[in-house]
Amino acid sequence: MNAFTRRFPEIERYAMSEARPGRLVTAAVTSLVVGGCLYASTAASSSQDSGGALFGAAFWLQAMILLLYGTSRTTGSVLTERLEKTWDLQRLTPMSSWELSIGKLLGAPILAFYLAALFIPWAAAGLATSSTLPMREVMWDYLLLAGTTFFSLSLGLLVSSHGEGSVGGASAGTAGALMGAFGLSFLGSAMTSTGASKGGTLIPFFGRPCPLEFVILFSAVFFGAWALAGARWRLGRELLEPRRAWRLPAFILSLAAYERALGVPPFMTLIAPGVVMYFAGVLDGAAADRWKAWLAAPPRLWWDRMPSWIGGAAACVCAACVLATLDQGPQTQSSPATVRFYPLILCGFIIRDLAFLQLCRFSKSRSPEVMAMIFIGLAYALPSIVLGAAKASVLLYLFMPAPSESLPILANLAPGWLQAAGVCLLLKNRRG
Amino acid sequence: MALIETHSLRREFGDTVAVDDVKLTIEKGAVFALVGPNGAGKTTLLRMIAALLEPTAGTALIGGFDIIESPRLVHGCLGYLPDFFGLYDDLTAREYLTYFYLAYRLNPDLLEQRIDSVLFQVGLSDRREAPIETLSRGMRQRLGLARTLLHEPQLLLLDEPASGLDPGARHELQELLRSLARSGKTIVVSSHILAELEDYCSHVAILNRGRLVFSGTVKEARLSLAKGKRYRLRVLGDAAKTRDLVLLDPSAKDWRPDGAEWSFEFSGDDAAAASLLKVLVDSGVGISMFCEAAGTIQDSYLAMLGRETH
Repeated sequence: MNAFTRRFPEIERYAMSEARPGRLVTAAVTSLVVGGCLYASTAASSSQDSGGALFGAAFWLQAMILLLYGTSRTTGSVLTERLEKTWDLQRLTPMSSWELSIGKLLGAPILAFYLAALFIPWAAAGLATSSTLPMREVMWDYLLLAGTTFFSLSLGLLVSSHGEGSVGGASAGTAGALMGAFGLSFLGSAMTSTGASKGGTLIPFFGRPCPLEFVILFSAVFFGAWALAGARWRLGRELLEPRRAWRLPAFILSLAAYERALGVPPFMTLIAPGVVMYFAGVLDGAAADRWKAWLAAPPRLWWDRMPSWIGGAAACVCAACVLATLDQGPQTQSSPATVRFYPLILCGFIIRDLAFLQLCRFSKSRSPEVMAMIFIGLAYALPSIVLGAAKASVLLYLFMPAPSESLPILANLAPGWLQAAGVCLLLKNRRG
Repeated sequence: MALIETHSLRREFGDTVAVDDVKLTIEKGAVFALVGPNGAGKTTLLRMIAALLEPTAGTALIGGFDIIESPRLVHGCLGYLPDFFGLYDDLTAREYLTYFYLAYRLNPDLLEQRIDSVLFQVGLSDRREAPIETLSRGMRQRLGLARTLLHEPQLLLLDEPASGLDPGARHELQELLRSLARSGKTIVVSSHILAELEDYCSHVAILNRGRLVFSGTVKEARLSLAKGKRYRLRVLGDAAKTRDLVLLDPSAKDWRPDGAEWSFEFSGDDAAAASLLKVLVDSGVGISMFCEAAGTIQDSYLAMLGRETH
């Protein structure tokens, strides 16, 4: 026990539970055997650079341990607490959402960290005996591995924090393995890109040329930090901490800024935040009683109790207004007004759908989110099919963000926003 | 001084009202029994008092802290033992308590001392280094109780702590709760069996279908729930004549067979019962036994639930 684990007791608990002496010794012996096999096989191979091959094998073994095993551990962390009925007991302690999040992020994969560390000597041996491995590339490889691990573990924690108690351990394990596989493929493609560029590729980022490695690393850390913030937000909500309603709007705005930094045209910038909003709307789980409690809350609790999708939608509208003022560039042949105001048109439909999702939570359905998503899907699919078949595609603007260039911008804006206003009006009256 | 004050607490789950307009005051030092049948809303009420579940309407003050405004401060002044809870089975009892000791931000210098103290309190000193998975159900329950005592809260909320325990373990738990009550803790303990709480609880509240149907001292509960005592008598002679004589008394009613004997409800006092007995003896009907039926508060409680339900 040290000052760090006293600050984050979760790490101490995971260490007591998982890092028992017998297990540590077994893992060390196993790593010796596996490392020895790697050494023997690379030494016996026909490769000219057996040291480089040993380094590569040890590195990918570490990556697999951290990303597959580590992520499945963080994905199971909160879910297991709910399943084993220990979650309420943690909620009663003075541990904050920050302490719980960091505790689970670093504590749950503690054995994965230990196993990965056991292979460092083998990777170092490979590096020392390699004749071709440049130190800079090795450094970037490890930085990318660290960034991807942080991203993947945070994503696992985000999923875990949003999971319900009814989710079984097997589902958590599968979700963790899938996310780990995603992290592994992300790392693979990142290393392929950076390896091919050999540090020479510069891409524009926030208007300045940046090395590709840096942009990828920044992206992993950026999204990892937001995933961790999302997990912390959810845990904080369960701890009945103040809800930090600014967090989703801040993410939406920073995602839009990130896209712009990568050069995504303004009229397309809001598509990814829009998709995020659908996820957030579903995961937020603002049940009917929470909606009623929000409407009935005194003004001092109004901000705190607000369903998060409302803040996110407001951020989308703000971003759309800013994007409409930017130079749209030469990316499209469409009418300039339609392109300029496309984010605002999109916002109308996003708000309509999210308000409809909230409305569905007042139904008797046991899965109102699934029901809402089916209806929303049909709301887009049916007009496309029917109007397409009737050769009346020009009317699509009434049902989806597909503006008609022959109409004035207000006519294109009106359908989405009027429908959104209608559903919001229905919701406003749901006071219970 | 009131340690718990609930103000029109209400909790809905969809269309179901689990707790409906509960107004309750629990004094410091009270041992409070929260009873009611399954589904009465006991767990929901306890979870709201523990600031683990937000009420749909109303609020509660626990030790002066509002469960909505300051839930984290509420957590600090209570120990809560849920009806179903997990222990980290791969830890030992000492490791389990060490984790919660650290989580409660208590003085690290006193860790071992405090753990020894609570283990002694719950009678698990000899199981200090035992893996939790090897503990019996009763021991697990006591370890859970030890956890609630770690930060020395003034209030203990125990949700059906005796559920699933064998008679021996139940008895041990009752002894433990008695000793905690003697140490001055305010204890709220829920159960659907009033009989096992009545001999060490000072107060009782009865919930039925989310509503509070009674709240007061155990003595008041006896008086309120009993609604007239029952008397039993063994008749050697003419039972019909005896019945007629008994029912002549305006305080007597509901004559009915009770095994090989007879019983009736009597709302008069002891002097009135003595007068009635004299009438029976003087009339010459053979009476070999005349006594107050030893009905428990549990019988009355069940009768009351029956009245509520119908």
